[in-house]
Amino acid sequence: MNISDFEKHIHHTFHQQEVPLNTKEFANNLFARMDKKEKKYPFGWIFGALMLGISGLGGTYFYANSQMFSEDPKGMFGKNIAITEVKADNEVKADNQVKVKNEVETEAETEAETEVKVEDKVKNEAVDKVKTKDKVENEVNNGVKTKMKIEDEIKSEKKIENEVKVKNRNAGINQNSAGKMMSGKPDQSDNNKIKDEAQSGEVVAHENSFIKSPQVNGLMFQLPLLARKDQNSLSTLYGFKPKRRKVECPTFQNKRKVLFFIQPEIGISSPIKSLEEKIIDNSEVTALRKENEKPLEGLHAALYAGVHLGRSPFYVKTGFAYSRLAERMDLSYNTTRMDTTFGIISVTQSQSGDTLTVIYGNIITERTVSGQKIKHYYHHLYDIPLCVGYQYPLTPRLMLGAEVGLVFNVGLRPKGEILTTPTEFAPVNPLLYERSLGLGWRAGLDVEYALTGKISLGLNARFNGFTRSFSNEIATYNQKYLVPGVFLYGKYYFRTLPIRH
Amino acid sequence: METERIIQGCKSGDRKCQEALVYMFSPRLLAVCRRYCKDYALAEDALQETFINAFRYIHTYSGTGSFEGWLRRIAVTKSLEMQNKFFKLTMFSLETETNITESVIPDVYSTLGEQELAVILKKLPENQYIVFNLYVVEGYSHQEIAQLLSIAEGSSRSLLSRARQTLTTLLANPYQQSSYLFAQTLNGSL
Repeated sequence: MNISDFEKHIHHTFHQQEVPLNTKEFANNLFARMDKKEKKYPFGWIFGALMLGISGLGGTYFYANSQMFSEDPKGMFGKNIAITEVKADNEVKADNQVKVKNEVETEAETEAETEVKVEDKVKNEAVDKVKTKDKVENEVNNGVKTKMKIEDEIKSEKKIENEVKVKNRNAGINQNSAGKMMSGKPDQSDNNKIKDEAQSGEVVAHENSFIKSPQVNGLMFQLPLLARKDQNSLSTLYGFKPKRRKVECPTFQNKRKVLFFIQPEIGISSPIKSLEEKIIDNSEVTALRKENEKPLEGLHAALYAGVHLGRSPFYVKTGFAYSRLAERMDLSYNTTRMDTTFGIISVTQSQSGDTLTVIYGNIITERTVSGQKIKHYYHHLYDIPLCVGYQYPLTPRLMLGAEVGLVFNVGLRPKGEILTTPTEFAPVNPLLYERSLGLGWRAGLDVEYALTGKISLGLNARFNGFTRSFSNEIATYNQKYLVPGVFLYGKYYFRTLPIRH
Repeated sequence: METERIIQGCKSGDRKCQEALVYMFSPRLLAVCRRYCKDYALAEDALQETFINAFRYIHTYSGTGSFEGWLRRIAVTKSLEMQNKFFKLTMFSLETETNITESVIPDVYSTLGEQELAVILKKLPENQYIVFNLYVVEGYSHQEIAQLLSIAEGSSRSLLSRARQTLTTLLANPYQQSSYLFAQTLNGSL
């Protein structure tokens, strides 16, 4: 019986094989398990829906927060200024809204008040405005006017005009200041106060808290016309001087501050190899290598340190990078080997069994040998890259970037087994390879997402090129690589970026 | 005809048909799982997974091939999954050299039963055992074996060839089995 018959016997025997089993018990267990699995599904769905809801709410919250930042057209550099401006602007808007609301209330309340009371208080208010006008003007002259603020000024002018009209209609008083306003000139004191509020939103908040106190509420009840209309003048009128808090005002100084970061990175690549004979000698080994040697995925790890120069979106980084490029060789062969041994090739015996002759000679045995060999070898690369990059903010958190750079290869270590004869492999001879490759280059694009003010996560697609051949002048072939890859990196900034609060 | 009706019932989720399917095929499929799993408990788990997957994906069975063959394939895959065989055989350098010689196995081996054959086959190195079983017993092609085990097709051929060689040696010299296997282990082929 040969092996194929034996295999048929095995197939026939095992194909019909049955193992005794308590089928009823097994079926019960199986269906119990299936039912249990089925029951789990609704919980999974509920959990999934909950998670989706939470992430949706979270996303909405972060989106709403990011909208505030996205109003700034200047991008990540100079956000410090932008955020303060927007905050102040919002406070002015909010303040204006309160005033408009109060104005309506004031109109209603004014009708119920006596004209005499209103007259006295409006007189006092006018005096107060004149007093504060100079102060505020000085402050405003030192401040910065923005377009938004000017718009707010115009709005507030209109409001003040309306308010004064109400006062005049109800109280019938001809004040100098009111007359001035009626003639179309804006009340500078009010305008300046609005500017002041815009620049120091926290001061306004502080005064609001004063106005909400019980004592002042009582006072404001008596002064409905003035209540909430002009809070600054109220505090000045009764000698209340709010303690000014230190407010961080926007500056347009362009101080050069460096922003350091570190960047760990891992990546995977698909190297493109070129293997060429230096002198065409139709080497069978090189031909087999060209045909069967395939580059596998390359693995990469690196740690960089970099710096943004001032508020510039450009950065410089350097570090240390390790790469491993793998090669795999599948070799199938089928050869015939002739073995010759010396031995007895013929023995002649008599009828009685005695040996008559013995002939010695060469015994030739022919063997067909087939086989397959799979071997790997690796290039371990140690690089010091020096790169310049640029980042463009698509949204406050999402950046698109590009970087180019030089790569100084400081070490190349080949390891593994490589084809040396048409049927045999041997350990890679390091003497045939360069010890370092010197200068190379890299270029790539990246997308970076800011997780927090200091930490970002990014994906980089990059080409890495080596100008020199991996093999040296002793080798009979040139082996070059171009390495496109995808890299995942994290970035830690040593200073919190304003955009990323 | 009966099987077709059961299959249709299973496709519509009929519990009785599912039970009938379990009763019909579980002893044979357990034999399949038993061949690839180390112990009986693991084989039973693999069998449960086989049926669960079969019921879940029975709508993909087109009806053109053998239904038992379809189930057996699931059983083989699940058993190998249970044994975590997939990635063990992937990234190792393989070198084989096979002498193609005509071997003769004594006829007495053609009378061996399931248990005796199982004992002999279990003496093969693990990777050779799996490939031999898949090729000889289950009837997989080398391409299918390579795909299933994530190895090169050539590796599958080599492993089968080595399994045959090992078997021939084992059967020709039954008293030297232990020393031969010891030598194989030292060579790193296990």
